[in-house]
Amino acid sequence: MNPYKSVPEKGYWKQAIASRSPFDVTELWDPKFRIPRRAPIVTFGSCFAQHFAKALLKRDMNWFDAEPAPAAVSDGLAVTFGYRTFSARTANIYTPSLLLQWLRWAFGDAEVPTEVWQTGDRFVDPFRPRIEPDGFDSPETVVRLRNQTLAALRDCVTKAKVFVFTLGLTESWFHKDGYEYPMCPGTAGGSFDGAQHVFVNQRFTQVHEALEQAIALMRRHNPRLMVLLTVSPVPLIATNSGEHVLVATMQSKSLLRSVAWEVSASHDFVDYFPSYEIINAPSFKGMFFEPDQRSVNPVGVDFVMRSFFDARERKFGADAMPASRRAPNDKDKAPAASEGATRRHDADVVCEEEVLAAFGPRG
Amino acid sequence: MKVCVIGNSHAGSLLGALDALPEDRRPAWDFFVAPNGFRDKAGLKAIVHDSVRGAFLGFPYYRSDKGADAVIADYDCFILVGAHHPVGAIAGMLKQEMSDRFRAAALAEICQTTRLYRFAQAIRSTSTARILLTTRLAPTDANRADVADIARTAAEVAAFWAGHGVELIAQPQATLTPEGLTRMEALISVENHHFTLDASTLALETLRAALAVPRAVRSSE
Repeated sequence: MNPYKSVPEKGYWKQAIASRSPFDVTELWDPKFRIPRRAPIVTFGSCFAQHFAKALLKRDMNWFDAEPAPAAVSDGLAVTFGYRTFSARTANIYTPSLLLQWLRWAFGDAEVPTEVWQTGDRFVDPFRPRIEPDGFDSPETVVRLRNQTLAALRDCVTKAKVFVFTLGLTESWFHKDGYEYPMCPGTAGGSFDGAQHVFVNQRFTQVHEALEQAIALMRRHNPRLMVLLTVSPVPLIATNSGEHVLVATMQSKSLLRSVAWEVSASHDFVDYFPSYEIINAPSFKGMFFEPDQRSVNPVGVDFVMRSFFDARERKFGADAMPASRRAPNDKDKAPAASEGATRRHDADVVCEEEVLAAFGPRG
Repeated sequence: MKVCVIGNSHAGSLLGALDALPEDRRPAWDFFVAPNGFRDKAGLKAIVHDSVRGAFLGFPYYRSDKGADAVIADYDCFILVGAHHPVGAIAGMLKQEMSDRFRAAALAEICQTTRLYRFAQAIRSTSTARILLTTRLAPTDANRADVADIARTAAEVAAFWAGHGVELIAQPQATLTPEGLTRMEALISVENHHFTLDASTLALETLRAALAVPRAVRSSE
């Protein structure tokens, strides 16, 4: 007798993977905690997090949009202006340190820098440079509308039951005064200044500490908040590390994956969902990528999300009543998906980092 | 000037006001009316634009020598009458704080979803005829948007239509309260927002003033 005798089928490569069609691979995730159908769920992080929002809405779950666009506006227009993309208009948050920065600003633990970029007569928010395609009309509007987003982020933390965060990058750009940009200045706005702007390829300790601090901050304001971590399976579009982009991608994703495991293993209120593994595992033969071998195709997204919901139902059973049919007074108990949010299903995913591709060599 | 009125039930109210005028004071306007969201009498079939003929087909109610189809080339001026997304409603839809560009884009998108926009586009695609547009401008109470928002939105909506070669005709001043809201007594009922005969007559006069049409002596029916 040895412990391997009692390992279930899913623990053996041959039975779980090699002898199955990739689409019959199951039990990839054993959820730690139940997510009731009506529980408000917020999503932030790298662009892959947007697939979560869409899938939750399609399943009639309660994706909480704390900063909704007017309901009469189309998805296309709303998404162009950063609405219906994440639960607040933060735009992509690629690193845990950037998440921590947003949270500190939202809860008044840190001052928001006064930096605003100007392009002609328009003004760009350095911390979400592509949230408005043509920028804002004044620096004051940049600040005022960012404050609106910070209020929405506060709402997300204090009212949500589950905070989904998708870790995307380790490579990051900081101002020498210590604050972080989501994009390298000069790529999506502003101008690059080597004396002011610092490249940091974050290491395990830095990523880990930032994520722990972000979660601790959120739990201070909402002790019942559960956190679901994922790692974006989308490779880097460009690296400033000096490494080959493939090596830099594996380095970055491996580190983020390790941090996600470390944090989820340390807390019973933090879980990790393996979207990264599902898309990237060799057993799936790269079939979930578009021809550019970077973008995840709809089949991959669907498989990932089906794995998510199947695992949830296998462990906790299907919820009997869809959110849209629940009693009206349930609305008082939890923030409900906005009308605009429920219309968002088919909007494209927004990835600001793709602007970097424009700076590569032609051909 | 040959004038064509195209509209929904609110155009019907306008026609009622026209008919209430002494015959020698009635403008000789053709009317094409499709209540129920610009659909046929049964409410099933939408009014069709035939781009080959350059005409809108099959109005369930009309007053015209030429039948139920409005042929665009026959007219020097169109008056489009409707109630979809009145300014007060748009002000309410866009009440939240947002950037100038998003507000402009959202307002344009909302205006473009109206049936009247499609009528205007179809007319503009083949004709340089003057196009006036009238729709209910102000709500009857301040619940949906504050008065400043209504005034601001009205200016934005007018600018949107002007950008598409359409003149937005202001709601008659006498139907408005000093705060810019629609007077309750100007409406038959709050449910359908139809003007009373008196208010419709004022609306008709406002349109005539805008057009500066000479008094007509002929009725096509």
